Amino acid sequence: MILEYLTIALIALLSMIVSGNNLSAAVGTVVGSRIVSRQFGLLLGAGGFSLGLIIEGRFLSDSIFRIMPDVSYYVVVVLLISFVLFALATYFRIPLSLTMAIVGISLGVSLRARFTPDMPYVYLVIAAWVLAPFLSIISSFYLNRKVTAVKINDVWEAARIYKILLVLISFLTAFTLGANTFGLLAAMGHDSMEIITVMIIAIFAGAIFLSGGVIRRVSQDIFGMRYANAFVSLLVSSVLVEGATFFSLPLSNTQTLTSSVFGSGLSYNTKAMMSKPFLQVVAMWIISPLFGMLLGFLIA
Amino acid sequence: MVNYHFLKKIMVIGERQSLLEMQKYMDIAIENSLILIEIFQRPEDPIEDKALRVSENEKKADNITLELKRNITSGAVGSTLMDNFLNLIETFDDIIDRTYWISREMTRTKDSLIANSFHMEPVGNFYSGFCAILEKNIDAVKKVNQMLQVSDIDGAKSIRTDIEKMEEDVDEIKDGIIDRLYRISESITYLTFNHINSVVHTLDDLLDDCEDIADLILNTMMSVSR
Repeated sequence: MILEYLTIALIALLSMIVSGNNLSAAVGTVVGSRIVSRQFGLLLGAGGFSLGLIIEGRFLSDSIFRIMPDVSYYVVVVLLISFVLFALATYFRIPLSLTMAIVGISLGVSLRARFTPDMPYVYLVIAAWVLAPFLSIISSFYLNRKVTAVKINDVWEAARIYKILLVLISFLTAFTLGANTFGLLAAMGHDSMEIITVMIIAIFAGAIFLSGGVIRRVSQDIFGMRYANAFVSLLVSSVLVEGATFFSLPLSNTQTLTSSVFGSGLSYNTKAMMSKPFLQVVAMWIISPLFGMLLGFLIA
Repeated sequence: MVNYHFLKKIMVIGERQSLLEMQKYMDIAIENSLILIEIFQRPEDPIEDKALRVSENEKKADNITLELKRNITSGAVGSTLMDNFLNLIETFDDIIDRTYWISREMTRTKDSLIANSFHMEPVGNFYSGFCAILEKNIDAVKKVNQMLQVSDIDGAKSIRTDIEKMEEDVDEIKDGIIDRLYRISESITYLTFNHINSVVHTLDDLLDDCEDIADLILNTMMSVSR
């Protein structure tokens, strides 16, 4: 019983942090470009996360227990390590992917518990993680070139259309993140009604109380992009995460979004890009699951 | 129920609205240029009333600047374009400030020339060149006004080219004036030399500002559509 309560509490805490951290990825552009107010952005993002979780979160329901044993103690261990890791990463501003960390920790726990994971599924997840960034970069590179090559007769009409599209795509990005990342978390609590309800409350709480600094920073710094770039990056990212959700594959939204932003940047002939931050993020994609796996193995 | 304010915010392009608001500077810039032309055409006439009108216009422009900056920093324009818009406003305001500076310079110079019993003839010839620059400035300001209203990039680029050509013409007029000024420098006072030299440079800056504004508008249009 205690372990069940602990599971709910840890899922709620993680949901709060993830919501606060990822809100900017979904709605940073529309808030930063002042298309919507910060309050409306919060509603748009948290609403998208929640709807994604409710409608499509179930696609991830058979994901986590194909990797780790369905034992309450191990679930709590995975959640606890994830929580500590993610909280530390947030504090030190390290771009850690929760999805990757959870999968890594789960594999470490499985090794320790001598549980045999569904290896074809594990390979599929790893393949998705390796392929997704390349697909993101290539898709956004070409799509951005196509979009920017379109002859525009009325600049202001184009801006108006982009603004509407950005609001829609921001919601879609939040929706896919809700379905995949929050879906994975919900799967650890067996998608029960209580878990979903607690998670939705935590999502809104995280969006309201934990997103402030991040949303301001990301909106103004990282998403200092033109409307077309932002639209392409969010579109590519959300399509890939949505695709992964349909195949029950946990895919980091940060991974696809960072790659598509990089791809959009590459599509310009005159490049003034700093590749160092991108390479640091890429390094974290490799370190997160491996470090998580090590911790899972040692602590479980 | 559909939120009206939300729809309004989506449908009304803040960048577009802010650019159209900047048209308020145009009438002031043109009026000040016309007053300066009047002053340069008849330097012997009293100029106090004309200088006062220029000064009042400068105050009006300051108020417009204040209002526009408030709108832009409080949400009309996204953070990525905010610097562009603030630069635009500053440059528009600079045009008005420069016309005000020239009117002040004329008041001071005229007082000084009269007080020292100097004749106006040595400077009179230069003033016709100043009028030619101011006429070009009026044309450039009208072009900037057109640019604020266009919706297509090609149209904006074409207007920008026209403004660039005007700026080059003004550079030639300015060079001619300075060459002439140096040729007669032995026969004029330092005060007259300095007066002509500083006014011609300020007049040239007016056209440079118009060119800068054209670049900023074009950049803004490209940013919102690409």
